[in-house]
Amino acid sequence: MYKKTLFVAIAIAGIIYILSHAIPGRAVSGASQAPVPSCNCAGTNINFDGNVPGDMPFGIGSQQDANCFGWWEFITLNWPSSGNDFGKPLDMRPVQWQTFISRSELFPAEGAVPRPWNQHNLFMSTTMLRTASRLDRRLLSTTEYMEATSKFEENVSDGFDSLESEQAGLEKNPKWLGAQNGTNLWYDIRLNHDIYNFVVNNKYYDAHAQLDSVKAGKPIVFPSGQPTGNVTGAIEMKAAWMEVKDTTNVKWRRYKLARVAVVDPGSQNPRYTWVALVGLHILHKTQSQSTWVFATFEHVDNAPDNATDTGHYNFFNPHCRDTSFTVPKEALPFDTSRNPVTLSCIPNMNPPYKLGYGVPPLPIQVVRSNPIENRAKATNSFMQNAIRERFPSSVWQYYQLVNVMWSSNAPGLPDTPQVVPVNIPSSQPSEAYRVANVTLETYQQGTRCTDCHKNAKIAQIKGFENKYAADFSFALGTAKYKGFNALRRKLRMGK
Amino acid sequence: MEQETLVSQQETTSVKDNGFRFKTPADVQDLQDQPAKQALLNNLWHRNLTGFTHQAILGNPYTQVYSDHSIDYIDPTQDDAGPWSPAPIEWSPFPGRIRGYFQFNDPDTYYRLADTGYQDANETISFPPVPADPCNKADTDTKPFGPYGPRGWQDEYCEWAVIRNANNKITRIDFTCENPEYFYSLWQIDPDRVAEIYSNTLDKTVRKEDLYLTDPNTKQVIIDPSTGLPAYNPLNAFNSGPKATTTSGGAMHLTSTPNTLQTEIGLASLATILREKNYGNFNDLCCCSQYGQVNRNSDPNIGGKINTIVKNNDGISNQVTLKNPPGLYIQMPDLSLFEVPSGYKIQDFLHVRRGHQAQSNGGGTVDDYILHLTLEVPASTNLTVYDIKINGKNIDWAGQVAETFTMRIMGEYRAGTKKSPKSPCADDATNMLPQPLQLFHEDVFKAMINTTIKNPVGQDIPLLSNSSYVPPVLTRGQSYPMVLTMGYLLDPDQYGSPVIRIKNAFTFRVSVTKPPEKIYYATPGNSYPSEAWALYLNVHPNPDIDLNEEYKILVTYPALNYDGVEWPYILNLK
Repeated sequence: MYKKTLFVAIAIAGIIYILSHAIPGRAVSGASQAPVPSCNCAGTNINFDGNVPGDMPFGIGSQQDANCFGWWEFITLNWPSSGNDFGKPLDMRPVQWQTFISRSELFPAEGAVPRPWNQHNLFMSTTMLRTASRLDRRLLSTTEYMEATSKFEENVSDGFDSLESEQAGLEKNPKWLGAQNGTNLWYDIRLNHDIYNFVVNNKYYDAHAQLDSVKAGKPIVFPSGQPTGNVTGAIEMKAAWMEVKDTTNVKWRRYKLARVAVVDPGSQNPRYTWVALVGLHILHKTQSQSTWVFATFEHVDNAPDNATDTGHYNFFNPHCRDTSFTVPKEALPFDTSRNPVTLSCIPNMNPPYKLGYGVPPLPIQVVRSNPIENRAKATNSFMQNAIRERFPSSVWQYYQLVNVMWSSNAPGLPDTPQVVPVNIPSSQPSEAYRVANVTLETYQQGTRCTDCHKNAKIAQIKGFENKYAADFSFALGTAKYKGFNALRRKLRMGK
Repeated sequence: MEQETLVSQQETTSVKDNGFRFKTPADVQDLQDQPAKQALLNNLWHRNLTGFTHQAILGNPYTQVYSDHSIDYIDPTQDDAGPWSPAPIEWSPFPGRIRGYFQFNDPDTYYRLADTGYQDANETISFPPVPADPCNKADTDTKPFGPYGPRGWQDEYCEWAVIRNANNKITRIDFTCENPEYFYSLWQIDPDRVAEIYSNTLDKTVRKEDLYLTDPNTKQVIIDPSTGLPAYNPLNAFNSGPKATTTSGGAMHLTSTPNTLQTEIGLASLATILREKNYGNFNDLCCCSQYGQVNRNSDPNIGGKINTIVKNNDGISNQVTLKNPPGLYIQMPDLSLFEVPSGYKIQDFLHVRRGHQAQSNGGGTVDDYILHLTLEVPASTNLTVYDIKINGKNIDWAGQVAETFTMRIMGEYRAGTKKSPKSPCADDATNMLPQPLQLFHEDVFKAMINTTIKNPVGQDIPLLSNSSYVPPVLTRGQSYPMVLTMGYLLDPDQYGSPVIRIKNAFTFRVSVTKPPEKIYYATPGNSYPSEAWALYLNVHPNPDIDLNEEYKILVTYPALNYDGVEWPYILNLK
């Protein structure tokens, strides 16, 4: 029942969105004749508009290039999907990447064909719409729904059988993140039109089509962005949002906000709320970077570099005290877990209980384990100033690049199916550098993006030993196939 | 046997001067306390770099096709008009070919190989063999892993030497990216200062006598006729191999045979030649254009980036040069990566010893011009480098530290005026032409070709592989026995010896003094040795010859009506 309600809410939101906004995709810049604002980032001209670059004009040759490219992507992907009010405070309208298709919509149940592009918020029936409107009319104004409380909840191909997706993840401790305002973060994965076309044209929404492809000797190769010619290439966005409880607080004028429906982990009912963007991954395949560019951004108020910091952050309290309390048995992550549990002030510790069993999310103490490196800091300072000069009140001046991963000697596109792990030669920054976003990899900050993504596999099919690489994207691994649900029910009953 | 050639006055080539001056690496002024000598060094360095640039633009018109006469690499001594845009190119100094070719279960094996050249602690197993021709996947032949030389595998334009204490803990690491050509040049001006720089940088007592080139058999010091003083040995006791002690060994400048500045400029120039086929990755382009070694972090990346800039997405071609001062520079690591014992900070141990940090080029970027970086924990602390951690792991290998920073060359480009033509891939020429390479004073040549250099994979190479393209100096009015090395020569049994001409004016008298000899060495800039020829000459510049001209050499066969192709900046006069 809850899903029907949720779908209705989203459907209404989608209709409102479609009727009132530009068609998703590349935003058209320069509606007026005024020159497009731009800045020169270490030799690369960055236009402040919605034209997402397919690649650096001359490829990426240095970390500075990579950092500038990351900011270029960030600006253009966060460009308003209508108008040119770049980062206008309290503007709830979706930015460009929010109009992309969600991963769950691109890979429907049972390997079904996804809805046509531009209709990916309109897949609910009118019955559902009526149900939603009775629930909470504010849901009609939402632009997205979110149900993931961990980035890893749906990572079903990173070493785990997709039929066991409920327990998937890199490790089994709870991975939700509680902000200092007593709410948990919500996660959102969106895929751009190029990926949509790639998946639909190859029928990769059906797990069998993926397997058939590699069995026939055809590798999984996502489309590459081109430096010219309006070819963006594959882009995956992973966002972390924190809930806004005090909507009148002026601090939210520093954040990208959205009205969304979230699925309460306990009641499983959709709930209307404001959310503020606090973390954003941008994964982009380009001509010069066949092993993808991994850029990650955060809000500047997220967390300190040091546990001795005296400032207040979204995910850090200098006066934090350990607290112990008893939780329902069902909320314990393991049979052997102690109860009462202790919520520790040791930074970056997984929460000791699961959400959805009557215990609200409590603040998790977070510290950035890998301080933002000097080159990123230099680019951040330059680009934040550039935004401030051109758009003085823009919320985007309050975001920072954490790092960008790229290869100084990326290989050519594969001719044959690759198996995991896929080697990334000359990976930059080099092995010594850990790259983690405190909102998306809170509990795994000792890793690098590619540590996981090199293991991304095609979707699992029961009985098949899956070893084939999915071109660094975990998205394909979520595809299902006809009969999947029945098989899963059967397996669950057998347990 | 003797043949003598007079060159006509019409062949004089004057060096133009637009006021541009190549700066020394990182603009270091090692003789600033002696202004006259510093001026000499600056002039010599400018001349050397001018020569390297001309050689780079000419490329290889002798034994290859589609590998010469780069039109989009700009000689700034002729035309430095901007505006120029920056094109920084970076790579990891940790040898990419070690990670690219080999798979080891123990991650320390990579570090051990990079630090020592061996896989095991007993130093009995070195590098596995690698494909003989990595550009030809059908070729299953293998060859010993190179480059050879005492630390030849450190081939990313950054080399290091490690000092360990009695407990096998690292106490000091010296990282250098200084090109050998600069030390050859400085040696010509002031050997004492070279020894001082060694001493002050490595913190050891280094006498200039320690740096002399000696005859391998007689142990006699070789006098370099260029200066009348002892010749420089680039693989001296303080600049050889990856291991050092507190009193010997070290890394003062680059020694791996491809790690030269002349090569880097040549690579940059060759990379400007556009190719007919679009390559999806830089390794394939590297194979097509035949610059450098595939799987290195540096060469494919440098060449690929430059080629992409010139290509300009198939629009009007851009033009490229290296930003002044041309060089290879360490970029300071992010200090937050290092975890040091309580009471210390990493700045207590990590020091820029030559070059300098952080010159902003605008746009929120930071450009370091570091030539020599040391990580040292003084014995007085009762600590070692091992007590410093990177990502929670104690530093047991210099390679761990190498992975914390990047190397960089700074290219720059400007808009061209037309779309440059595209060429097929570089290839062996059907009709090869005699190819001059380097000119040596004979005594220097003999000492270097007869000195054998060992390395872990058992592939001996002569010290001549560590010579340089810094030209020899001749005094006007004197005759010199010299040796011209050649990459290709017509069969001497069939065609006899060539006639060698040196332009400028008919003021050079050059004679071939004995039949050519086959030699085997890695021409500076090459990763692997190959067969070459040594041609013994007598060269006599007449007393009235003009100074500071561009002197070019031609290998000719008058009987065949072959006049040769000029190879520039073959010598200097005084």
